[in-house]
Amino acid sequence: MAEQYRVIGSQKLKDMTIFSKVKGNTGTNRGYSSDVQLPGMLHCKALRSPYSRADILSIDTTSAEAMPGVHLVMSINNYPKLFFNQLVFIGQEIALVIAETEEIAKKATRLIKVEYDVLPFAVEPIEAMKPDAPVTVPVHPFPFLEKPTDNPNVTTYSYAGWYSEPNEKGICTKRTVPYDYHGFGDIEQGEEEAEVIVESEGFSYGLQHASIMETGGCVADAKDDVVDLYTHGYWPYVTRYLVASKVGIPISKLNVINYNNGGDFGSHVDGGQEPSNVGPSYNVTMVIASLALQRPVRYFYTPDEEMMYRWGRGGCGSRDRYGFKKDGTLVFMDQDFYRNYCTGDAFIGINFSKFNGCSSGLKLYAHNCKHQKLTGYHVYTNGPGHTGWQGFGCPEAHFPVNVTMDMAAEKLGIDPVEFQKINHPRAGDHWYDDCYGWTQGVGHWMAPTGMDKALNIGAEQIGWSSWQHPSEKTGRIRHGIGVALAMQNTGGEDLYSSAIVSLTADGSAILYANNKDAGQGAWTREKAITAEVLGIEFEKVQVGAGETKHLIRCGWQLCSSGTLTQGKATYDACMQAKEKLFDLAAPKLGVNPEDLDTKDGVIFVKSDESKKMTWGQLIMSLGPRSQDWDIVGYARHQVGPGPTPQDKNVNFISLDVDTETGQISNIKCSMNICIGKAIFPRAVEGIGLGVHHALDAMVGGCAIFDPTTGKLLNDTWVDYTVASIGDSEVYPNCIEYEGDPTHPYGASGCGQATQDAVAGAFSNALYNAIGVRMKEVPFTPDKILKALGKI
Amino acid sequence: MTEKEKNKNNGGISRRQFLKDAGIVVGSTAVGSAFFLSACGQEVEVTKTVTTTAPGTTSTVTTTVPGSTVTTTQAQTETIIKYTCPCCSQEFDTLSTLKSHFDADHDEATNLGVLMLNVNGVEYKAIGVRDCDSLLDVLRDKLALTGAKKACDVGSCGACTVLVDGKPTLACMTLAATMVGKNILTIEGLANGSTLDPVQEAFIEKRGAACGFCTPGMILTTKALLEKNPTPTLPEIKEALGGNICRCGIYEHIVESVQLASEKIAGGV
Repeated sequence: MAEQYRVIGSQKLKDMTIFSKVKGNTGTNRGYSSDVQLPGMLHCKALRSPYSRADILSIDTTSAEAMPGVHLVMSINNYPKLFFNQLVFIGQEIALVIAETEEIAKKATRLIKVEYDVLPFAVEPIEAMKPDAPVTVPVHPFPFLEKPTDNPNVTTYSYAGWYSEPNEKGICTKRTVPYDYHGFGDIEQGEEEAEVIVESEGFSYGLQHASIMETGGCVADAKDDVVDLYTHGYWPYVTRYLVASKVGIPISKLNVINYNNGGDFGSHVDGGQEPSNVGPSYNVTMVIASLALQRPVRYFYTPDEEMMYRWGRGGCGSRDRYGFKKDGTLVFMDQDFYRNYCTGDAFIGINFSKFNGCSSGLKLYAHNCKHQKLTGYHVYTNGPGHTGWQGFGCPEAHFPVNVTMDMAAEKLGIDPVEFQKINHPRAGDHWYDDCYGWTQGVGHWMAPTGMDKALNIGAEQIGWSSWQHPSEKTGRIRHGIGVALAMQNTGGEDLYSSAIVSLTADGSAILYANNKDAGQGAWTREKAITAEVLGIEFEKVQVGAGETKHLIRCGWQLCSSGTLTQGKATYDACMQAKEKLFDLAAPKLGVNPEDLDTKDGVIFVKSDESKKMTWGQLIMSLGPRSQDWDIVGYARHQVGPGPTPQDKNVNFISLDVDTETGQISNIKCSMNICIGKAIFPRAVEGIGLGVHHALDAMVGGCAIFDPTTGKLLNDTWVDYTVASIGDSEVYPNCIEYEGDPTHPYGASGCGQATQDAVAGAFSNALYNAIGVRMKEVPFTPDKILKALGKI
Repeated sequence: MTEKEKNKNNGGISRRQFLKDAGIVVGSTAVGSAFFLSACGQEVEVTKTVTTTAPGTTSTVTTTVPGSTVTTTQAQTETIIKYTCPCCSQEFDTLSTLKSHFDADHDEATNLGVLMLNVNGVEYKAIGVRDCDSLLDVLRDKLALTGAKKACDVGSCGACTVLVDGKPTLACMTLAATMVGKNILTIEGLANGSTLDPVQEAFIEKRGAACGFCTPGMILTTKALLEKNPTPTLPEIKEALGGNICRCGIYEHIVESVQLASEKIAGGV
């Protein structure tokens, strides 16, 4: 029977950040960094490259510097380590002007004279992959992560790993790096063992803009040699380290202030080197400027500047060949995948390649797959600034896999849902992932996944019992349903987090845990865990977070890892504080510590509740003037070898297709998040609802370029279509199950995998409707009509 | 003489080019107009002067035929085009360089001085407002009312929504100068001290905000909807909020918040 909890898991939990949000978070500099206003604040504007590819021959900033109201002009002339003379995308920053007002700064940028050598470019990956393509990005951001190919614009991952030496459970214990591809087993043997082969190729996924409303930027405020940096992003401590080291100041002199984000989804992951790895960082440059000028300096991108950055997704080619037994058991997976990498990205680097493996036999189909070969390629283009966000390469990698599996189900004559039940991952399966760097990606296996339950619930919700083969569909409007699975690692990437909790005399607690809350409910989750462990009311807990200077380092709120790393750290810190409480109270109550419990600030003997004392009575007994003392717990948690929970879900989509117009309508999505235990259910549902911005991309929200200049044509939300309230319906379900040993409450992580299965489920639904496999995202009416032979 | 032969003899100027510069007579100067759009959105008319050199001016063109060198002398005319700045009379070779100069040196908006705005029942004195300033920029930068957010700045997301005389209005698309005499309600004006509006309470209870950036606009649009239609149907809610984008995608939770707000208001809360 599931354990009953007092606080966690309640639908009534109130998000602790929402009170200020419904009031606009205004009148404070402890809200959104774009709202920050400081006396004497200066403003920064950028001169940006008008060309997709050009070299700067000369740059003259004297007229701009002479303009009244201009305080500083930054360019390669005076900051050679922060700027580049090789321009590789439209919008790349060439110079920054800091002035009294935005208007003055903007006018001054027009006075900067630049001489360019304009060069040929390739903004589409298919062009960059041609043998005679121009070199798109002459200097790659992380060359040590790459292996070159014959084409200077195409590389593979130098840390691909080969897994071998299985133990008695069949889980490989050794990883060999470098290797030409990720894999294990023997593909040739797999080909011999397989009875049915299924192949596909040529899937592509358009570039998609990260789903954020607040534009990138910061306010840097230096007073003497100490700087307050108001910025946003998921990892304030990484930002602190990178910015301090690039600026050349001690880490202790930089305070990163980040209370609210207007969206993130991992797109601000470039914490010191944003927006991409080939340009200056607003954080770094504004800290330098503020230190030099001793005034606050503000630099926020305008919305059209924001559209020059934070693009992700972009799969541009695939080849999949899988083998099965006739009963549907998967035997081998042989996969190639090409990713549109644009000009490269920020700190995370080409690590995206490791995420290709999430949808392969290394992870998602680990249950039956005995032989695996996956080669991931990166294609450099002169596309807009790239970043990893929610999925980090997995949505485009899952796409061909989810469709090929659907093709296999059809070829084998097995219902797609039943087919997934044969092959989906489950407890005890291996988990090969070099995201767990210190364990070399071996020594991990899967905790329970709950996917059977998710398949059943989702199938009923979407109306799977009405499934018909596309050949049976008639009429102008065709209805289709499709299913796809998603899985991504959580708590990997060597993430750890810390927590300190302070128990006070009035029976309340303060949790110090600066693990970023960007609207996913992290701080409320930690508050709930604290209240649950300490047995006090939810409202008796306060969370201290938002600035690095007062708080020890906490983990990245990335990679669906908050529940696992921060949540466990918080739990352990609270348990330690409780132990201290009982150690101190036990002799006073004449019992042993293990005989005690606490509820609502009262410590009592479990066998005789009349024997008790309050936290306040205990604390005041500790010294003559001890009323303001506290009892403190501290903990640090990092995922080690053993079971891993993963971020996983099952996605069902239903839709209607008008076969005369190609229009898609009536889109519905059953989003089943395999969460184990939802600590903050409303927030988990909210994360599941993020499927809306994956559905954007399915019906049109992708980059469109002018082929003659490489300029982005849909650079505003008027032309770049984003999901609105009436476009689709999403039903998020928290799929709870027992037995996950990786977290004290059996809670898994969730977040980034939300995006992963949507393209596959959508394409499978389209096939179910019209009988044609759609391989290019977005699925626009012209492509559908062409597939139907209507045009 | 054919058109092609004529073109060959006139030094390469095509008939199309000739017609484009209509009114030009060889050996004289013609004056016309050209237009560009300044950075501040003004259409600026400038003088375009086209001057051609008089006939009789010669230049030598050497043409080499394989095996021999043949020298021919042709009469060349030269066309010089200048664009004159209407503010300082400086001349430029191209319209784009004149535009750059104009934007940098002359493109000043008109400063309106002091603008009186009624916001949340308070008469604000906004100083230094220009004719081209949006209501959003004035609220945020002049009055420090940062509740209305700047997200798309092109009127397509609704994050900047305020109520003007009770009507949802995109502050980024509204000139501040047109707001004199209007009653403007921003998110800051919704609560009464520590007492929240029922719409705000509903959004808290149903967690109708994730990152919260769209929330002020969502709440104000909801406020206007429920004042006009206290018991909206689901399609009516979706139509009313169709212009408010949530990039976190929590639309279903927002709908539930609106429905709860409707119940609260109907219940007299």
